[in-house]
Amino acid sequence: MKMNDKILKYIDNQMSSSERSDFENELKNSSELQKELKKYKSLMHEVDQLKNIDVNESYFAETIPKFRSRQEVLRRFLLFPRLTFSIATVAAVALIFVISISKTNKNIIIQKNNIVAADTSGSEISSLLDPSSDQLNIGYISKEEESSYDSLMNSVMTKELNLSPNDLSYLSPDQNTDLSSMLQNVNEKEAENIYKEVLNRRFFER
Amino acid sequence: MADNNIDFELVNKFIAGDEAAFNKIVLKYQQKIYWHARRMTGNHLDADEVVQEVLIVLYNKLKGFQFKSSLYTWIYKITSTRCINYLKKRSLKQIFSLDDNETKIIRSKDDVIKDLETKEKLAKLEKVLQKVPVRQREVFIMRNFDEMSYDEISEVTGKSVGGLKANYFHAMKKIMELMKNYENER
Repeated sequence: MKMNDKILKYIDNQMSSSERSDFENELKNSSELQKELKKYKSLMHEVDQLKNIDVNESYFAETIPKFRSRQEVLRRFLLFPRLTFSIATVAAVALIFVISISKTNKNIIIQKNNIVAADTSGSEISSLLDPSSDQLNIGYISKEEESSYDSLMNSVMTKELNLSPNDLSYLSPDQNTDLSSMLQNVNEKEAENIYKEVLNRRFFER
Repeated sequence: MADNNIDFELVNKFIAGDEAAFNKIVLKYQQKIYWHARRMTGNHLDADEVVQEVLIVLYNKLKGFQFKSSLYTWIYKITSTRCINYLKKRSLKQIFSLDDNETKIIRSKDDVIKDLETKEKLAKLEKVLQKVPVRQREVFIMRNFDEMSYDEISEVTGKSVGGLKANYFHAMKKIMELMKNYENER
């Protein structure tokens, strides 16, 4: 062990009784060790003198009032960010509420047609819209209801527009032709013309 | 033990809403907080700032104090942490500003020490201590000024006793050397 380490252990009371007696024996015979120990003891003496210092009591009397006034300033300072945070939170909650409401309404509209857009892929939508598909349910009117509505419409048109039953036969669609067979009879050019006409047509006048 | 009972009573009174109990706790421990901060920071103004920071933390956290350690140890832990944080902030400030230690000493004319001779001796030790690494300085202060055992220091700092002893010995050697240099410079 180095000399300094021995001295420090001795001063710091970290030596066992046997180590201590060995050190004290060594100390008697070594002037160098005595000189070094003296330096450390003088440092410790200086430190001891600065342990209990007379202080101006007025400073310590001011500690609590100073703390209380600082606490008040802090409280006021923290109030503004808290208010801002509260307003921002309320605005965010309101925004989320409005968005969720509008999203729910959209779902309701789509669900009327039995198709939930969010859950349906592109290919599924195509198959659902395929006229030959069993899944496409255009209207919910049975054959019996359809004929009764037809006769009702015919009577209304005859009465209101002064049409004869012969004129009505021109207006009524061919009963034997269904939608899928009609579409099969349309060639590509005709389909394109119909498509263009539909695109150019203004359904609603502003 | 009786001291702990008084502390227990004061803390419970404060939790129940008695602000005067907090004032009593401050009056009891403020000098210890100040002197630890003063020796760590090396001047009155910084020590004063640390004391105020410690009191704010103490006030905000005292309601959650569960007496797992003594109130003194807990306050000491807060003081030690605040001092180290303050010194980190100060060294950063010193890098980016012209506010050096010399100007701080001039500004410290409103010191709390009455006696001129003591003031000089303390100034010397403070100057030397500021040149010792923070962790070593902390152990030196706790061991010599606050007369704490290594076990107590370990409880406050969370460091091992062996590590603390090593830090203390390094601090002592460095302080001895710096004191010698200080005398030679004069």
